[in-house]
Formats: sequence, C-alpha cells, structure tokens
Amino acid sequence: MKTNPSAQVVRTFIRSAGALLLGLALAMLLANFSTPGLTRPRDPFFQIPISTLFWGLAGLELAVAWVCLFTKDVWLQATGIVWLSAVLVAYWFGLRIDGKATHFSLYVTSLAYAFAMSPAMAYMALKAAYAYLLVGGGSALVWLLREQREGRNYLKGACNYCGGHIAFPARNLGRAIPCPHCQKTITLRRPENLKISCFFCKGHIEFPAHALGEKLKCPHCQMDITLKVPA
Amino acid sequence: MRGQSPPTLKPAAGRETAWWVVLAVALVVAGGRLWGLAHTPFKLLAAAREVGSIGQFYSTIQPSGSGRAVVYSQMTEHGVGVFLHETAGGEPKLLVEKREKGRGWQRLGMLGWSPEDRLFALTVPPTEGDPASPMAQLLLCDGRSGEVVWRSEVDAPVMGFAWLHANSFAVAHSFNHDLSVFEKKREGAWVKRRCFKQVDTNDWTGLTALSESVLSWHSSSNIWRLDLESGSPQLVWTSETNRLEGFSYGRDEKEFRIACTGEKGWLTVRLRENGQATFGRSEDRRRCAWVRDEGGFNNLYVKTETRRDPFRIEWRGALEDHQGPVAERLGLGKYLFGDSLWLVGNPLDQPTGIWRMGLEGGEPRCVVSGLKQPLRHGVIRGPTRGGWLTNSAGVAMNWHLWEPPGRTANEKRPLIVTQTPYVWLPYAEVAAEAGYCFAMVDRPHWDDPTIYNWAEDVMALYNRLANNPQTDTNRVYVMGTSWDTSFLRSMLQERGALWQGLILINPGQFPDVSQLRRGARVFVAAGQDQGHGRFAEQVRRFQESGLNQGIQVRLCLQAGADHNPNSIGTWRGRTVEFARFLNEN
Repeated sequence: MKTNPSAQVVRTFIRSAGALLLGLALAMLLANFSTPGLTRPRDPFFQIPISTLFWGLAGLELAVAWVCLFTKDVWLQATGIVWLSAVLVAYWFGLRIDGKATHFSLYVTSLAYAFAMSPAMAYMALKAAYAYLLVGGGSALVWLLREQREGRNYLKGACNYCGGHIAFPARNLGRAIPCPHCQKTITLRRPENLKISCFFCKGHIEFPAHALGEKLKCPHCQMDITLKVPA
Repeated sequence: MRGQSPPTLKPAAGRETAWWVVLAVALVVAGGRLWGLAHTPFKLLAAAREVGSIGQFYSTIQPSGSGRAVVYSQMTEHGVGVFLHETAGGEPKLLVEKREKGRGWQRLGMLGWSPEDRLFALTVPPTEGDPASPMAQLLLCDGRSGEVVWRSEVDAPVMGFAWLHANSFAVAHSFNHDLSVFEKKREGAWVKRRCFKQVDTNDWTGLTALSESVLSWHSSSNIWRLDLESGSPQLVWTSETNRLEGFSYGRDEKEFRIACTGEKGWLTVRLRENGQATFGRSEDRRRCAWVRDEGGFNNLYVKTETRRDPFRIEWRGALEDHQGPVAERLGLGKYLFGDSLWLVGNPLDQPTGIWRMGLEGGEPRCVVSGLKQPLRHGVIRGPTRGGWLTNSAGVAMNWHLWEPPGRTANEKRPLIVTQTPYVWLPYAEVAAEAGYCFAMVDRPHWDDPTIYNWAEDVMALYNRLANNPQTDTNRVYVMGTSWDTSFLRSMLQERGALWQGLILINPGQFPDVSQLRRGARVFVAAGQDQGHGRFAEQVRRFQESGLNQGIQVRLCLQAGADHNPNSIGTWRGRTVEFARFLNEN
C-alpha cells in the first residue's frame, strides 16, 4: 500500500518541531546559566524574572518536544505544538498591545550573549521559530481534521488469508488489492464475521476473519475443528 | 472526540531515531554555546577577576608607637577584617572579621594602641537589624600575638576612645553621651571604674588623653577638657571666625595645636595651658607632609624638624583619603608616626597597599600589599596622562587619563569620563585593559564641595578629550558613583545625545535615560540590601523603564551587599560584570 505524501510531510514537520523545541529549551536553559552575575529584568507582561520565564518555557518546550519525538499520537503532537506556539503568540500580542514589543529584544540579551548573537538577531530567531511552529502545527491540525472527516467513512477489515488488520476508505469497498501484510490479492469487504458449519455436527459457527486457521473446540459438539474460509 | 488516525501515520518515528535526533540537537546547541564561549574575552575577564580581587584598605591605619607593627582594616573575601602585621615580616594576623551581609554602614573601629604597644583596642559594631546583638563589642588584643585578651559589650556606637595609661582607658558613646573609664585590676581583669552619665556634648571627635586623668575632645566648634577627678567638662577653645578642623596635644610642650580653616586657608593655633595663643600658617609647622599634584601625578612633600626645606618623594599614584592639592591634613600627624610617613595608596603601576617611608628620605616601601599573589592576566598601568583643566564655572581641577595599551596613531577608542576621588580604581585599570580610555577629574575627597561641579567638570573633561583624534566621540560613557548620579539628570537633559551610555555604581538617584541617544547602554552595579531591599525594587524599575525605551540596562544587583561594596567577593563580581559590559560594546 502506498504511503500518503501529505502524511509524510506532517510526520517530517512533527519531527522537526520536536527537534526545534528541544533546541530552544536547551538554549534557554544554557542562557539561564550563562551570566550568573547579572540580574535579569522582569518580563513586562507577567512581571516575573525573565530567567523564571525561561525556566517555565523550557519545561513546556521539553514536554512538547518529548511528545513529538517519543509518542505516536499525531493529534497530541500537533495540538501540543499549536497550543505552545499560540500561547507565545498571544503573549507577543499582549506585549504589542502594551506597547512593549518593540524593544523586547533587550529582554532576551542573556540568550543572545550565550550564543554570541545580537539581541535583535536572537529575538528574530525566536520569532521565526515560533512562527514556523504555529504555521506548521496549524497546517498539520487542518490536515488531520480533513483526514478525520474522511476517516469517518473509513472501514476496518482483516485479510482473509493472514488476518492482518486493514483500514480503508469506504469508497474502496469491493476493490481487489494486494494485502499490505501477506501480499495476497484480497477483496476489500465490510468487516463482517465469517460463517461456517462444524465439520462434525454441522452446527453454526461465526468468527472474525483474523481467527482464520485457528484450531478450537466446536462450541456445539466439543470436537476439535479448524476455522476455514467458508466454501 | 478524536477520530481514527490514518494508518500511514501509525509507524511514527522510532524510539531509536528519536534518540538520534535528541543527540543531534544537543550537539548543535552545545556547538552554539561553544561558539558563544569562543567570543568570551577570557583574558579580559580573568584580568578583571584578578584586579577586582585586590583587597582594598580603609584609609585609617594604626602603626604602633615604635613602628614594630601596624593594625589596619582591609577587605576580606566575605567582609572586612582588622589585621595585625609585624613590619619586620610574616603574614598578617586577622584579629576580627565582620561579614558583609547585614553589616550596615558601621565599620570595625580601630581604637588605638596602648602606651608601650602592649595592647590594641578595637570595636565591632552590632549586626544591623539583629535584635540579639544590639550592643557593640569592645576588644583588647595582645599587641604581638593578636589574641583577644578581653572582651566586653558596650553601648553602640562607640564614638570616642583614649588610653589614659597602659592599664586604663576611656570609652565614649554618642547614643547616651556616657563616658566610661575602665581600669585593669591587679589580677588582670578589666573593670569599669567610673561612668560619667550624659556628658553635655554633641560629639566626641578626637577624644585624647592629655594626661592620665584628663581627657579632651572637640564637638562642632568647641574643644572640651574633662578632669576625671572633678568630673565636669570645661570649654577650652571656641572657634568663632574659622572652622575647627581638629587638634592635637603636645604633652611635652603642654599645648594644644589647633587646626582651623577660614577665608585665608588653613591656620594653626598653639594654645598653651595658661590660655596664651599663637597663630600661624600651617606651612610653618615643623613636621608635616603634603601631596602636590604635578601634571596630573601626585607627589609627596615632607618637612621635618631636621630638614626645614621640604623634600620630595616621587609617588605618581593614588592616595586614599588625602585632601588633594592642599593636603594639609597630612600635616596634622594623621600619617606621621614616629620616624615614618605611612600611607595607603598605590604608586603609579602598583596595586593598593600600605606604604612606609622614612622622614629622612628614601624610597617608599610596601608594608602590606592588597595583592595576595602576582597578577597573571591583569596589568596595573595607572594613568598615562594628566593635567589641569578649568570647568565652565572657572574652577581649576586636575585630571588623569588611563589609556589602553598598544594604541596606534589613528585608532579611535571609546572613552569613559567621570569625576571622582583619585584613589585605587580597579574600574580604570579594567577599562584600559578592555580597550577604553578612562578619564577622571580628581575630586579631593568623597564629600568635597567640588562634587557640586560634577556635571561641569565632566563636561569640561569631555570637551578637553573630544578634540583628541584618538577619541571615538560616538562611544563616550559617563560614569557616576553614589551621590554623583544625582547630577546626571540635568546633564542628560542638556546634552543627553552626547553619550553612548551610563555606568552607574551604587547609584543614589536614577536619571531619565530617555534623553540618551538611540541604542545607548547602561550598566548599574548596586547592593541588593541597600535600603533593606527597597532600593532593589527601585533599581529594577529603572531597568525595566530603560528596556521599554530601547536602552539596554545591564544590572549587577549583588545579594548581601549594601550601598558600598564591603568584601573582595562583591568587588570582584562587579568588576567582572563591568568588564563584560565594556566588551559587549
């Protein structure tokens, strides 16, 4: 089965977002240790020391980075990225409304000097990173929502031969495709149970497709039988 | 409400890949930090650390009568200590140390050597804000070993002390105006023999024993004497037309030597027991020393009984607590002990220390150096140029200029200008090391009236140096310390666009930085404990106000420190941050 190219892009974005957030978190932690002799200003919005803000932000960034890099839930990943970047964008808008965004670069001098950058460059890099996260995370969420809408018509079935799980759009019902697991040609069907009769007592037996080939006792006559494709 | 994930996303990044990503990111960030560290001026910071670690001395020193030992007060790593040092050699002994934190404004008091140099008295002020110890400690230390032989609690603050004889002393307090007399008993214990309650005086300045039973002191314009037998103070002298500066008493001649200042300068009055007074100019004293500024460099002149013509000692450096070009106070005997002249200061390219020179000539000899080990990175250069200038008010002042090494003819250098007393200045040495020119107008002492010309003097110095083709007039900083900062406001209102930034050390007031040019920078070094923490809030607001106006304000707010730094650790911290600030220009 071919991989969806959009999904590949989303997956790449989420990995890159995880790496970026991890990098930002580490940079902020290092910046907090870089000039211990100086008193950092309080941020103009929450009135907490910038170093405390960096600690908190680095913690959140690490958490979201961990989700992006070590979990498989794309919804959680994309939501985490969008939430964090939206919080920071909202913070930035708050600064703008207060008229304090213009010179905010001077509040991040510790970050700038830790990496031999000018404060303006450090501020621009931060803004670019979060813009990337917000746009990328938003796009990923939109893609997921679209996929979800289509995914309401997704059906789950199993290969008649190997029992491997297969999800497929409902519109493909009835199409013959090679099983992604065993490569045998199968017909996509509704996920219905298979029905056979017991070889010994002719009693009715219904079972899911993935149980094909299993040996068990007939629930009627207790004789050992093998579940087979119905004739 | 989540829907099902499409199957193509199920095999997300494997854990192994994720760990590789983490490692790669960590390496990239570490590389960035290394890049940052590669741009750190390690040599400059190491030099600043060394120069900032030079233990500064407090100006009052107490050589013993024989010159065998000296007791002095010097900064330690965490506070201020009183040390006993045998001049013949050996390591100084720490008699008592007061930690910087909670110390308040009160200093350790060195009260003086007993006759025959057997004991030394000192007082330790109570820790500020500590209700458990509201009393000061009075200590008697052995004059050789430095061991504390007696200790007692007395009312704080101790404002006067005098040895009556080897086994008796008097101690006075300004708090309750009491005067207590202590005496050593035969078995060795010290006991309070008498206490004069609420003596009618405002002050106990210069408390001196005229004999074993008579004390004298001065309070505002009056000199008093108190006979311990009669118990009532008598007025000896009132200075009506001149300002009383101080006095000494010659036991052999039985006369007061009273120093006054007036419209005609300094005046010496010799007052005999019978009330006969002789007036003269201070230069007539037989034994005196003074400082003269010669082209921006201080040199010393000494006159003794045997050498009527003063002889010159080349010093060319800074002196603590001198009185500038008319350093007449030296002549009061403050620094003349026995056959030597004792000074605290630093000759041109030397660290600060205690220096001793014979009154019959000879080179100054360092008795105690502020430097504990040789400098490896820092270099003490001292000023390279100096001279006289006249400010807009028509007042002539002398100035000094520290220049960075290795300047080429056309190279422009940033400049720092200030007006401050010419004492040991680690900031000047660090500025020169950082490639700055550091120029200062010499104020005779901290609270000299010339402080009111602060802005005029700094502008005059700027105008003097701005014409120098080697001065980068786009990078000129003004430096103000403590009270100086109150004069910055008007200066910035008038000529704010001249300055690339401000350097505020222990600021007393904060100027309006909006007057500075765009992109200006400010460095502030201050103690967090000043004003019981209220000041810290003020300085933080100043920082935020500056940042919101686009002025970078680097704040070095030091925990445990008060208005003035009183430990090597505090000095070192702010000197290093000062160097870092200069380097970021």
